[in-house]
Amino acid sequence: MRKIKLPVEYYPCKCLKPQEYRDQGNTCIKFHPETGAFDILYNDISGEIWSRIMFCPFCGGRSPQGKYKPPITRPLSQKEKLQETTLKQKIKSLEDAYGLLGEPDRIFTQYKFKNPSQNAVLLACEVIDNTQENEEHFTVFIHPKKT
Amino acid sequence: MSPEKDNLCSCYWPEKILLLPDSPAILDEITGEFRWKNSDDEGYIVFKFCPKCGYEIPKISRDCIDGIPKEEYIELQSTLKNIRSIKEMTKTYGKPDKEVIQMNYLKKSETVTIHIFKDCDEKIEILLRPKSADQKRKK
Repeated sequence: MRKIKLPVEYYPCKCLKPQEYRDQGNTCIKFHPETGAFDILYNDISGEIWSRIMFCPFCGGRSPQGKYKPPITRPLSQKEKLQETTLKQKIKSLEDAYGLLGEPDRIFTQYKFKNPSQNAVLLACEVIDNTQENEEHFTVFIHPKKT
Repeated sequence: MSPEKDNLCSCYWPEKILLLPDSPAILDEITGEFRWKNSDDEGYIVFKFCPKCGYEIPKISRDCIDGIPKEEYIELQSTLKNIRSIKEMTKTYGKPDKEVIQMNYLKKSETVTIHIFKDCDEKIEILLRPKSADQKRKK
């Protein structure tokens, strides 16, 4: 079973090694200017990856998460609830959504291939981001078959 | 070796990096160190903990990647290496078994974003989520 350190097990990274290696310039540790967090830069089969450092690889402490803020969980207002209900009544298909709301800002499509090999499944994710001049991303993940 | 028992990484991110074609990392056979080569090939840095799950990186290479034998994982990776779109993927693996679509409208409302989901049974779901202060500023 996969496990990840829980908040109760966190201790903040104070070793300063990520900063040191970032400043060195020739290591894989980079500072992402948009997210304000430390990333590892490498190439995988899909191309260049900026992979967020969640825990310091040198001391195991929780790495600073930059500008990331957890999503807001406030309840919808009465007006917003009404808006949601109206949309639910009017939209019964994706075509309805296009007709009513137009082109979406982002489209995520996830494809699952159940039997590419004996023990694995493939999840392919396609992202079309119309906010970034129609940027398209395509990534494939290899996962174990659930028993 | 049980990751749960030994407080070892169980997300297998380090092994996935080691198995990449032209991997930037190696697991040193003598010291068991996970070494990430520098971009100019001048030296390396040693990772002791997995940057994804926070637990220790094992000093011995494991035979399975999250239940997938290494050879099978490498084989799949080499097939996927040059695939850059769903069209190319369909040519290799046939039609996908499941397809889920999510459409996001971020600018239709001042206070909420609209999310429309279509699952593999063609069922449509609609969700409104409150915008954060940052999202409101970005509009």
